[in-house]
Amino acid sequence: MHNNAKKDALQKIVTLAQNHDITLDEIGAHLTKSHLKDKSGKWLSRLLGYLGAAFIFGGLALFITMQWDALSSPTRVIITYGPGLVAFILGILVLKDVRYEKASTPLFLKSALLLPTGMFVFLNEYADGDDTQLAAMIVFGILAIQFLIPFLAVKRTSLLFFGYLFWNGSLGILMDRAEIPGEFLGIALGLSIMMVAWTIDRTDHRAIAPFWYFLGSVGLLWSVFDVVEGVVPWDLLYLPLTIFLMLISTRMHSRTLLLVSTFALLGFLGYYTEEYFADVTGWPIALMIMGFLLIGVSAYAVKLGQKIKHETLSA
Amino acid sequence: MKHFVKENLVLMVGITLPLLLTVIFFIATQFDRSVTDPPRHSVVYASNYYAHNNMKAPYRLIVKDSTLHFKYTPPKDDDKRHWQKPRLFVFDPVANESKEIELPAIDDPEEKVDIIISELTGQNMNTLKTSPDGYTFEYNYRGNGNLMTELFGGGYRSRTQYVLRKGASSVKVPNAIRYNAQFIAWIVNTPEGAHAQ
Repeated sequence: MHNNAKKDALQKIVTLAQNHDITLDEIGAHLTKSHLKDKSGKWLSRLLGYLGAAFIFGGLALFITMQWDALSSPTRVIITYGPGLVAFILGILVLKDVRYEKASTPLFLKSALLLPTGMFVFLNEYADGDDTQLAAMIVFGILAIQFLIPFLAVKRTSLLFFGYLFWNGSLGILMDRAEIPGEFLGIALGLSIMMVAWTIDRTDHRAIAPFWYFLGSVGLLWSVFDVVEGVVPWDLLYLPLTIFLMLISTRMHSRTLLLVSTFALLGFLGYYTEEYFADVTGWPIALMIMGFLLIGVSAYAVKLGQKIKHETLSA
Repeated sequence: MKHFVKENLVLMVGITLPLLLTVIFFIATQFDRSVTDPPRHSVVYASNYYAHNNMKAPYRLIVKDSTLHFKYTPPKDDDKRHWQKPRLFVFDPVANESKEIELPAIDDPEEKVDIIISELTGQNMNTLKTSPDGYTFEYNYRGNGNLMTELFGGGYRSRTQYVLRKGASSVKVPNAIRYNAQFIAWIVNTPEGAHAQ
Protein backbone atom coordinates (compact mmCIF):
# COMPACT_ATOMS: atom_id res chain seq x y z
CA MET A 1 0.00 0.00 0.00
CA HIS A 2 2.76 2.35 1.11
CA ASN A 3 4.90 1.43 -1.90
CA ASN A 4 2.05 2.00 -4.36
CA ALA A 5 1.36 5.45 -2.93
CA LYS A 6 5.05 6.28 -3.22
CA LYS A 7 5.14 5.11 -6.86
CA ASP A 8 2.07 7.22 -7.68
CA ALA A 9 3.67 10.26 -6.07
CA LEU A 10 6.90 9.71 -8.02
CA GLN A 11 4.93 9.42 -11.28
CA LYS A 12 3.22 12.73 -10.51
CA ILE A 13 6.58 14.39 -9.84
CA VAL A 14 7.96 13.09 -13.15
CA THR A 15 4.88 14.33 -15.06
CA LEU A 16 5.15 17.76 -13.44
CA ALA A 17 8.88 17.93 -14.18
CA GLN A 18 8.29 17.06 -17.85
CA ASN A 19 5.42 19.56 -18.22
CA HIS A 20 7.44 22.41 -16.73
CA ASP A 21 10.79 21.40 -18.25
CA ILE A 22 12.41 21.02 -14.83
CA THR A 23 15.68 19.06 -14.76
CA LEU A 24 16.73 16.43 -12.24
CA ASP A 25 19.51 18.71 -10.95
CA GLU A 26 17.04 21.53 -10.30
CA ILE A 27 14.79 19.21 -8.28
CA GLY A 28 17.80 17.87 -6.39
CA ALA A 29 19.10 21.38 -5.65
CA HIS A 30 15.68 22.50 -4.42
CA LEU A 31 15.26 19.43 -2.22
CA THR A 32 18.74 19.85 -0.77
CA LYS A 33 18.05 23.52 -0.10
CA SER A 34 14.81 22.84 1.77
CA HIS A 35 16.37 19.86 3.52
CA LEU A 36 19.26 22.02 4.72
CA LYS A 37 16.79 24.69 5.88
CA ASP A 38 14.91 22.10 7.92
CA LYS A 39 17.96 20.41 9.33
CA SER A 40 20.31 23.37 9.76
CA GLY A 41 19.75 23.41 13.52
CA LYS A 42 20.28 19.70 13.88
CA TRP A 43 23.60 19.27 12.09
CA LEU A 44 25.71 20.01 15.16
CA SER A 45 23.90 17.51 17.35
CA ARG A 46 24.10 14.93 14.57
CA LEU A 47 27.83 15.57 14.04
CA LEU A 48 28.47 15.28 17.77
CA GLY A 49 26.40 12.11 17.85
CA TYR A 50 28.50 10.53 15.08
CA LEU A 51 31.72 11.72 16.72
CA GLY A 52 30.61 10.32 20.07
CA ALA A 53 29.79 6.95 18.52
CA ALA A 54 33.17 6.91 16.74
CA PHE A 55 34.98 7.71 20.01
CA ILE A 56 33.13 4.96 21.91
CA PHE A 57 33.87 2.42 19.17
CA GLY A 58 37.50 3.56 18.86
CA GLY A 59 38.02 3.57 22.64
CA LEU A 60 36.58 0.07 22.95
CA ALA A 61 38.80 -1.18 20.11
CA LEU A 62 41.86 0.45 21.71
CA PHE A 63 41.03 -1.03 25.11
CA ILE A 64 40.65 -4.53 23.57
CA THR A 65 44.00 -4.11 21.78
CA MET A 66 45.73 -3.09 25.01
CA GLN A 67 44.29 -6.05 26.91
CA TRP A 68 44.64 -8.55 24.03
CA ASP A 69 47.62 -10.49 25.39
CA ALA A 70 45.93 -10.95 28.75
CA LEU A 71 42.75 -12.37 27.23
CA SER A 72 42.07 -16.10 26.87
CA SER A 73 41.05 -17.60 23.54
CA PRO A 74 37.28 -17.81 24.29
CA THR A 75 37.33 -14.23 25.59
CA ARG A 76 39.05 -13.00 22.44
CA VAL A 77 36.39 -14.64 20.29
CA ILE A 78 33.49 -13.41 22.45
CA ILE A 79 34.79 -9.83 22.63
CA THR A 80 35.07 -9.55 18.83
CA TYR A 81 32.32 -11.81 17.48
CA GLY A 82 29.83 -11.06 20.29
CA PRO A 83 29.31 -7.33 19.64
CA GLY A 84 29.12 -8.05 15.91
CA LEU A 85 26.37 -10.60 16.40
CA VAL A 86 24.50 -8.34 18.82
CA ALA A 87 24.73 -5.43 16.35
CA PHE A 88 23.41 -7.67 13.56
CA ILE A 89 20.43 -8.88 15.64
CA LEU A 90 19.72 -5.33 16.81
CA GLY A 91 19.88 -4.15 13.18
CA ILE A 92 17.11 -6.62 12.31
CA LEU A 93 15.07 -5.83 15.45
CA VAL A 94 15.06 -2.04 14.99
CA LEU A 95 13.41 -2.52 11.58
CA LYS A 96 10.22 -3.43 13.42
CA ASP A 97 9.96 0.11 14.85
CA VAL A 98 9.81 3.03 12.37
CA ARG A 99 11.34 5.38 14.94
CA TYR A 100 14.61 3.42 15.04
CA GLU A 101 14.63 2.17 11.44
CA LYS A 102 17.50 4.46 10.45
CA ALA A 103 19.74 2.91 13.11
CA SER A 104 19.80 -0.35 11.18
CA THR A 105 22.41 0.78 8.61
CA PRO A 106 25.12 1.77 11.16
CA LEU A 107 24.32 -1.39 13.11
CA PHE A 108 24.78 -3.54 9.99
CA LEU A 109 27.98 -1.64 9.19
CA LYS A 110 29.30 -2.39 12.67
CA SER A 111 28.35 -6.06 12.40
CA ALA A 112 29.92 -6.26 8.90
CA LEU A 113 33.21 -5.13 10.48
CA LEU A 114 33.07 -7.15 13.69
CA LEU A 115 31.60 -10.45 12.50
CA PRO A 116 34.46 -11.29 10.09
CA THR A 117 36.98 -10.06 12.68
CA GLY A 118 35.46 -12.39 15.28
CA MET A 119 35.41 -15.32 12.88
CA PHE A 120 39.04 -14.79 11.89
CA VAL A 121 39.97 -14.55 15.58
CA PHE A 122 38.12 -17.85 16.18
CA LEU A 123 40.00 -19.57 13.34
CA ASN A 124 43.30 -18.08 14.50
CA GLU A 125 42.75 -19.36 18.04
CA TYR A 126 41.34 -22.80 17.32
CA ALA A 127 42.18 -23.90 13.75
CA ASP A 128 45.45 -25.42 12.53
CA GLY A 129 47.23 -24.64 9.27
CA ASP A 130 48.35 -21.55 7.44
CA ASP A 131 45.76 -21.46 4.68
CA THR A 132 44.45 -17.95 5.32
CA GLN A 133 42.87 -17.86 1.88
CA LEU A 134 40.67 -20.87 2.67
CA ALA A 135 39.74 -19.29 6.01
CA ALA A 136 38.74 -16.05 4.26
CA MET A 137 36.68 -17.95 1.68
CA ILE A 138 34.73 -19.78 4.40
CA VAL A 139 34.25 -16.67 6.56
CA PHE A 140 33.05 -14.49 3.65
CA GLY A 141 30.84 -17.31 2.34
CA ILE A 142 29.09 -17.71 5.71
CA LEU A 143 28.68 -13.94 6.03
CA ALA A 144 27.27 -13.66 2.49
CA ILE A 145 24.56 -16.16 3.45
CA GLN A 146 24.02 -14.45 6.82
CA PHE A 147 23.42 -11.05 5.18
CA LEU A 148 21.63 -12.10 1.99
CA ILE A 149 18.99 -14.41 3.53
CA PRO A 150 17.64 -11.70 5.91
CA PHE A 151 17.76 -9.31 2.93
CA LEU A 152 15.21 -11.48 1.14
CA ALA A 153 12.90 -11.04 4.12
CA VAL A 154 13.42 -7.39 5.16
CA LYS A 155 14.69 -5.87 1.86
CA ARG A 156 17.22 -3.48 3.40
CA THR A 157 19.73 -2.01 0.96
CA SER A 158 22.57 -2.15 3.52
CA LEU A 159 22.07 -5.92 3.92
CA LEU A 160 22.22 -6.36 0.15
CA PHE A 161 25.36 -4.22 -0.07
CA PHE A 162 27.31 -6.12 2.60
CA GLY A 163 25.91 -9.51 1.53
CA TYR A 164 27.02 -8.94 -2.06
CA LEU A 165 30.40 -7.64 -0.88
CA PHE A 166 30.98 -10.84 1.12
CA TRP A 167 29.67 -12.94 -1.78
CA ASN A 168 32.28 -11.44 -4.08
CA GLY A 169 34.97 -11.91 -1.43
CA SER A 170 34.18 -15.60 -1.21
CA LEU A 171 33.62 -16.12 -4.95
CA GLY A 172 36.84 -14.33 -5.90
CA ILE A 173 38.87 -16.60 -3.63
CA LEU A 174 37.06 -19.68 -4.96
CA MET A 175 38.00 -18.59 -8.50
CA ASP A 176 41.58 -18.00 -7.44
CA ARG A 177 41.76 -21.45 -5.83
CA ALA A 178 40.45 -22.97 -9.06
CA GLU A 179 43.67 -21.51 -10.53
CA ILE A 180 41.94 -19.05 -12.86
CA PRO A 181 44.59 -16.59 -14.07
CA GLY A 182 44.24 -13.14 -12.47
CA GLU A 183 43.30 -11.43 -15.75
CA PHE A 184 40.44 -13.83 -16.51
CA LEU A 185 39.31 -13.70 -12.89
CA GLY A 186 39.13 -9.92 -13.15
CA ILE A 187 37.23 -9.99 -16.46
CA ALA A 188 34.67 -12.56 -15.29
CA LEU A 189 34.15 -10.98 -11.87
CA GLY A 190 34.03 -7.46 -13.35
CA LEU A 191 31.39 -8.50 -15.90
CA SER A 192 29.45 -10.35 -13.22
CA ILE A 193 29.44 -7.34 -10.88
CA MET A 194 28.31 -5.04 -13.71
CA MET A 195 25.43 -7.36 -14.59
CA VAL A 196 24.31 -7.62 -10.96
CA ALA A 197 24.64 -3.81 -10.63
CA TRP A 198 22.44 -3.44 -13.71
CA THR A 199 19.78 -5.58 -11.99
CA ILE A 200 20.14 -3.68 -8.69
CA ASP A 201 19.77 -0.42 -10.62
CA ARG A 202 16.27 -1.50 -11.62
CA THR A 203 15.11 -2.03 -8.05
CA ASP A 204 14.46 0.15 -5.00
CA HIS A 205 18.05 -0.50 -3.94
CA ARG A 206 19.53 1.50 -6.82
CA ALA A 207 21.44 3.74 -4.39
CA ILE A 208 24.26 1.15 -4.26
CA ALA A 209 24.32 0.47 -8.02
CA PRO A 210 26.86 3.24 -8.92
CA PHE A 211 29.39 1.76 -6.47
CA TRP A 212 29.11 -1.66 -8.09
CA TYR A 213 29.13 -0.18 -11.61
CA PHE A 214 32.35 1.59 -10.68
CA LEU A 215 33.99 -1.48 -9.17
CA GLY A 216 32.85 -3.83 -11.94
CA SER A 217 33.85 -1.58 -14.82
CA VAL A 218 37.24 -0.64 -13.32
CA GLY A 219 37.92 -4.35 -12.64
CA LEU A 220 36.88 -5.35 -16.15
CA LEU A 221 38.80 -2.62 -17.99
CA TRP A 222 41.92 -3.07 -15.85
CA SER A 223 41.96 -6.83 -16.47
CA VAL A 224 41.31 -6.52 -20.21
CA PHE A 225 44.15 -4.01 -20.47
CA ASP A 226 46.43 -6.48 -18.63
CA VAL A 227 45.61 -9.08 -21.29
CA VAL A 228 46.10 -6.88 -24.38
CA GLU A 229 48.88 -4.56 -23.21
CA GLY A 230 51.78 -4.70 -25.67
CA VAL A 231 50.15 -7.46 -27.75
CA VAL A 232 50.08 -6.17 -31.34
CA PRO A 233 47.51 -5.84 -32.93
CA TRP A 234 45.11 -7.11 -30.24
CA ASP A 235 45.77 -4.12 -27.95
CA LEU A 236 43.80 -2.02 -30.44
CA LEU A 237 40.68 -3.99 -29.44
CA TYR A 238 40.70 -2.05 -26.17
CA LEU A 239 39.51 1.00 -28.09
CA PRO A 240 36.20 -0.50 -29.33
CA LEU A 241 35.66 -2.02 -25.88
CA THR A 242 35.84 1.35 -24.11
CA ILE A 243 33.64 2.97 -26.79
CA PHE A 244 31.17 0.10 -26.43
CA LEU A 245 31.08 0.66 -22.65
CA MET A 246 30.54 4.38 -23.20
CA LEU A 247 27.58 3.61 -25.42
CA ILE A 248 26.23 0.94 -23.11
CA SER A 249 26.39 3.44 -20.22
CA THR A 250 23.58 5.34 -21.95
CA ARG A 251 21.53 2.13 -22.13
CA MET A 252 22.23 1.47 -18.45
CA HIS A 253 21.65 5.14 -17.58
CA SER A 254 24.88 5.07 -15.59
CA ARG A 255 27.07 8.15 -15.50
CA THR A 256 29.49 6.21 -13.29
CA LEU A 257 30.08 3.73 -16.10
CA LEU A 258 30.40 6.61 -18.56
CA LEU A 259 33.03 8.25 -16.36
CA VAL A 260 35.07 5.06 -15.96
CA SER A 261 34.92 4.12 -19.65
CA THR A 262 35.82 7.69 -20.69
CA PHE A 263 38.89 7.69 -18.44
CA ALA A 264 39.80 4.22 -19.74
CA LEU A 265 39.55 5.50 -23.32
CA LEU A 266 41.67 8.56 -22.53
CA GLY A 267 44.23 6.36 -20.78
CA PHE A 268 44.32 3.98 -23.72
CA LEU A 269 44.86 6.85 -26.18
CA GLY A 270 47.79 7.96 -24.03
CA TYR A 271 49.21 4.43 -23.99
CA TYR A 272 48.77 3.99 -27.73
CA THR A 273 50.36 7.26 -28.80
CA GLU A 274 53.27 6.74 -26.40
CA GLU A 275 53.74 3.12 -27.48
CA TYR A 276 53.49 3.47 -31.26
CA PHE A 277 53.67 7.09 -32.32
CA ALA A 278 56.13 8.71 -29.93
CA ASP A 279 59.17 7.83 -32.07
CA VAL A 280 57.52 7.98 -35.49
CA THR A 281 56.60 11.59 -36.06
CA GLY A 282 57.98 13.02 -32.90
CA TRP A 283 56.55 13.23 -29.42
CA PRO A 284 55.29 16.84 -29.69
CA ILE A 285 53.12 16.02 -32.69
CA ALA A 286 51.86 12.89 -30.95
CA LEU A 287 50.95 15.03 -27.96
CA MET A 288 49.03 17.43 -30.19
CA ILE A 289 47.12 14.53 -31.78
CA MET A 290 46.44 13.24 -28.30
CA GLY A 291 45.14 16.67 -27.27
CA PHE A 292 42.66 16.78 -30.18
CA LEU A 293 41.52 13.25 -29.34
CA LEU A 294 41.01 14.19 -25.69
CA ILE A 295 38.90 17.20 -26.66
CA GLY A 296 36.84 15.05 -29.03
CA VAL A 297 36.32 12.29 -26.47
CA SER A 298 35.43 14.67 -23.66
CA ALA A 299 32.89 16.51 -25.85
CA TYR A 300 31.33 13.18 -26.79
CA ALA A 301 31.28 12.09 -23.13
CA VAL A 302 29.52 15.31 -22.13
CA LYS A 303 26.90 14.69 -24.86
CA LEU A 304 26.35 11.14 -23.63
CA GLY A 305 26.12 12.39 -20.04
CA GLN A 306 23.37 14.83 -21.01
CA LYS A 307 21.57 12.07 -22.88
CA ILE A 308 21.68 9.86 -19.76
CA LYS A 309 20.34 12.72 -17.64
CA HIS A 310 17.38 13.31 -19.95
CA GLU A 311 16.63 9.61 -20.32
CA THR A 312 16.79 9.07 -16.54
CA LEU A 313 14.33 11.89 -16.01
CA SER A 314 11.88 10.70 -18.64
CA ALA A 315 12.14 7.01 -17.66
CA MET B 1 9.74 -20.32 -14.20
CA LYS B 2 10.21 -19.25 -17.82
CA HIS B 3 8.92 -15.81 -16.91
CA PHE B 4 11.28 -15.61 -13.91
CA VAL B 5 14.29 -16.54 -16.08
CA LYS B 6 13.29 -13.99 -18.71
CA GLU B 7 12.83 -11.28 -16.10
CA ASN B 8 16.12 -11.99 -14.33
CA LEU B 9 18.28 -13.17 -17.21
CA VAL B 10 21.01 -10.56 -16.68
CA LEU B 11 21.18 -11.31 -12.96
CA MET B 12 21.38 -15.06 -13.55
CA VAL B 13 24.08 -14.70 -16.21
CA GLY B 14 25.96 -12.35 -13.86
CA ILE B 15 25.92 -14.86 -11.03
CA THR B 16 26.55 -18.01 -13.07
CA LEU B 17 29.34 -16.62 -15.31
CA PRO B 18 32.11 -16.65 -12.65
CA LEU B 19 30.79 -19.93 -11.19
CA LEU B 20 30.86 -21.56 -14.63
CA LEU B 21 34.41 -20.34 -15.25
CA THR B 22 35.42 -21.73 -11.86
CA VAL B 23 33.95 -25.17 -12.69
CA ILE B 24 35.72 -25.22 -16.09
CA PHE B 25 39.11 -24.34 -14.60
CA PHE B 26 38.59 -26.73 -11.68
CA ILE B 27 37.86 -29.63 -14.06
CA ALA B 28 40.86 -28.70 -16.24
CA THR B 29 43.14 -28.63 -13.16
CA GLN B 30 41.82 -31.95 -11.87
CA PHE B 31 42.29 -33.47 -15.33
CA ASP B 32 45.94 -32.36 -15.35
CA ARG B 33 46.43 -33.92 -11.94
CA SER B 34 44.67 -37.16 -12.83
CA VAL B 35 46.92 -37.81 -15.84
CA THR B 36 50.12 -37.03 -13.92
CA ASP B 37 51.52 -39.33 -11.24
CA PRO B 38 51.66 -37.55 -7.86
CA PRO B 39 55.11 -36.73 -6.41
CA ARG B 40 56.63 -39.46 -4.26
CA HIS B 41 59.89 -37.97 -3.06
CA SER B 42 60.21 -35.65 -0.08
CA VAL B 43 61.92 -32.33 -0.71
CA VAL B 44 64.34 -30.58 1.66
CA TYR B 45 64.22 -26.79 1.44
CA ALA B 46 65.44 -23.86 3.50
CA SER B 47 64.14 -20.39 4.12
CA ASN B 48 66.14 -17.35 5.12
CA TYR B 49 68.96 -18.97 3.14
CA TYR B 50 71.08 -16.75 0.90
CA ALA B 51 74.18 -18.86 0.32
CA HIS B 52 73.14 -19.67 -3.27
CA ASN B 53 73.83 -16.09 -4.41
CA ASN B 54 76.31 -14.82 -1.86
CA MET B 55 79.70 -16.44 -1.33
CA LYS B 56 80.18 -14.48 1.90
CA ALA B 57 77.12 -16.05 3.53
CA PRO B 58 78.30 -17.70 6.77
CA TYR B 59 75.63 -20.44 6.87
CA ARG B 60 75.65 -23.21 4.29
CA LEU B 61 73.64 -26.38 3.76
CA ILE B 62 75.67 -28.77 1.67
CA VAL B 63 74.92 -32.29 0.48
CA LYS B 64 78.09 -34.39 0.54
CA ASP B 65 77.98 -38.13 -0.12
CA SER B 66 74.17 -38.11 0.04
CA THR B 67 74.29 -36.56 3.51
CA LEU B 68 73.21 -33.06 4.49
CA HIS B 69 75.86 -30.96 6.28
CA PHE B 70 75.25 -27.70 8.13
CA LYS B 71 78.33 -25.49 7.85
CA TYR B 72 79.12 -22.25 9.59
CA THR B 73 82.07 -20.01 8.77
CA PRO B 74 82.55 -16.89 10.94
CA PRO B 75 81.92 -13.79 8.79
CA LYS B 76 85.00 -11.66 8.29
CA ASP B 77 83.40 -8.26 8.08
CA ASP B 78 81.68 -6.81 11.10
CA ASP B 79 78.80 -5.65 8.93
CA LYS B 80 78.10 -9.23 7.98
CA ARG B 81 77.23 -10.20 11.54
CA HIS B 82 73.55 -9.55 10.92
CA TRP B 83 73.26 -12.87 9.08
CA GLN B 84 70.53 -15.05 10.55
CA LYS B 85 70.56 -18.81 10.76
CA PRO B 86 68.43 -20.38 8.01
CA ARG B 87 65.41 -22.55 8.76
CA LEU B 88 65.29 -26.06 7.34
CA PHE B 89 62.12 -27.88 6.26
CA VAL B 90 61.20 -31.27 4.81
CA PHE B 91 57.99 -31.62 2.80
CA ASP B 92 56.59 -35.12 2.33
CA PRO B 93 54.10 -34.95 -0.59
CA VAL B 94 52.70 -38.42 0.13
CA ALA B 95 51.60 -37.44 3.65
CA ASN B 96 51.17 -33.78 2.55
CA GLU B 97 53.14 -32.70 5.61
CA SER B 98 55.82 -30.10 6.01
CA LYS B 99 57.96 -30.23 9.13
CA GLU B 100 60.78 -28.04 10.35
CA ILE B 101 64.14 -29.46 11.40
CA GLU B 102 65.95 -27.40 13.97
CA LEU B 103 69.49 -26.58 12.94
CA PRO B 104 72.23 -26.83 15.59
CA ALA B 105 72.90 -23.71 17.64
CA ILE B 106 76.14 -21.78 17.05
CA ASP B 107 77.67 -21.53 20.52
CA ASP B 108 80.84 -19.71 19.53
CA PRO B 109 80.35 -17.32 16.58
CA GLU B 110 84.12 -17.21 16.02
CA GLU B 111 84.44 -20.94 15.48
CA LYS B 112 83.87 -22.92 12.29
CA VAL B 113 81.16 -25.59 12.42
CA ASP B 114 80.46 -28.58 10.16
CA ILE B 115 77.68 -30.80 11.48
CA ILE B 116 75.68 -33.59 9.84
CA ILE B 117 71.95 -33.06 10.27
CA SER B 118 71.13 -36.08 12.41
CA GLU B 119 67.39 -36.10 11.59
CA LEU B 120 68.26 -36.77 7.95
CA THR B 121 71.06 -39.26 8.54
CA GLY B 122 70.64 -42.42 6.50
CA GLN B 123 68.47 -40.69 3.93
CA ASN B 124 69.62 -40.79 0.34
CA MET B 125 69.90 -37.20 -0.92
CA ASN B 126 69.84 -35.95 -4.49
CA THR B 127 70.60 -32.33 -5.38
CA LEU B 128 69.44 -32.46 -9.00
CA LYS B 129 66.92 -29.76 -9.89
CA THR B 130 64.37 -32.35 -11.02
CA SER B 131 63.34 -35.24 -8.80
CA PRO B 132 63.55 -38.82 -10.16
CA ASP B 133 59.78 -38.74 -10.77
CA GLY B 134 60.04 -35.49 -12.75
CA TYR B 135 59.00 -32.80 -10.23
CA THR B 136 60.77 -29.51 -9.52
CA PHE B 137 60.55 -27.26 -6.46
CA GLU B 138 59.33 -23.90 -7.78
CA TYR B 139 58.11 -20.50 -6.76
CA ASN B 140 54.61 -20.31 -8.18
CA TYR B 141 53.86 -16.82 -9.38
CA ARG B 142 50.52 -16.54 -11.12
CA GLY B 143 50.70 -13.26 -12.99
CA ASN B 144 50.12 -9.68 -12.03
CA GLY B 145 47.34 -8.76 -9.69
CA ASN B 146 44.57 -6.38 -10.61
CA LEU B 147 41.77 -4.65 -8.75
CA MET B 148 39.61 -7.77 -8.64
CA THR B 149 42.35 -10.15 -7.49
CA GLU B 150 43.53 -7.72 -4.82
CA LEU B 151 40.04 -6.95 -3.50
CA PHE B 152 38.33 -10.30 -3.88
CA GLY B 153 40.90 -12.89 -4.92
CA GLY B 154 42.79 -13.13 -1.65
CA GLY B 155 45.46 -10.61 -2.62
CA TYR B 156 49.08 -10.93 -3.65
CA ARG B 157 50.07 -13.39 -0.91
CA SER B 158 47.66 -16.06 -2.14
CA ARG B 159 49.13 -16.00 -5.64
CA THR B 160 52.68 -16.54 -4.46
CA GLN B 161 53.60 -19.88 -3.00
CA TYR B 162 56.00 -22.75 -3.44
CA VAL B 163 54.91 -25.84 -5.32
CA LEU B 164 56.22 -29.14 -6.65
CA ARG B 165 55.55 -28.90 -10.38
CA LYS B 166 55.53 -31.40 -13.21
CA GLY B 167 54.18 -30.00 -16.47
CA ALA B 168 50.79 -28.41 -15.82
CA SER B 169 50.31 -30.34 -12.57
CA SER B 170 51.43 -28.83 -9.27
CA VAL B 171 51.25 -29.66 -5.57
CA LYS B 172 51.33 -26.84 -3.03
CA VAL B 173 53.97 -26.97 -0.33
CA PRO B 174 52.06 -26.24 2.90
CA ASN B 175 53.47 -23.93 5.58
CA ALA B 176 56.32 -22.87 3.27
CA ILE B 177 57.67 -19.40 3.90
CA ARG B 178 56.25 -17.34 1.04
CA TYR B 179 59.52 -15.72 0.08
CA ASN B 180 63.16 -16.76 -0.24
CA ALA B 181 62.65 -20.52 0.23
CA GLN B 182 65.49 -22.40 -1.49
CA PHE B 183 65.63 -25.93 -2.76
CA ILE B 184 68.32 -28.03 -1.03
CA ALA B 185 67.76 -31.66 -2.06
CA TRP B 186 65.36 -34.49 -2.80
CA ILE B 187 65.16 -37.48 -0.47
CA VAL B 188 65.32 -40.41 -2.86
CA ASN B 189 65.09 -43.61 -0.87
CA THR B 190 63.22 -45.63 -3.51
CA PRO B 191 65.15 -47.90 -5.91
CA GLU B 192 64.21 -45.51 -8.74
CA GLY B 193 65.71 -42.56 -6.86
CA ALA B 194 68.85 -44.46 -5.92
CA HIS B 195 69.25 -45.44 -9.54
CA ALA B 196 68.94 -41.81 -10.62
CA GLN B 197 71.82 -40.87 -8.35
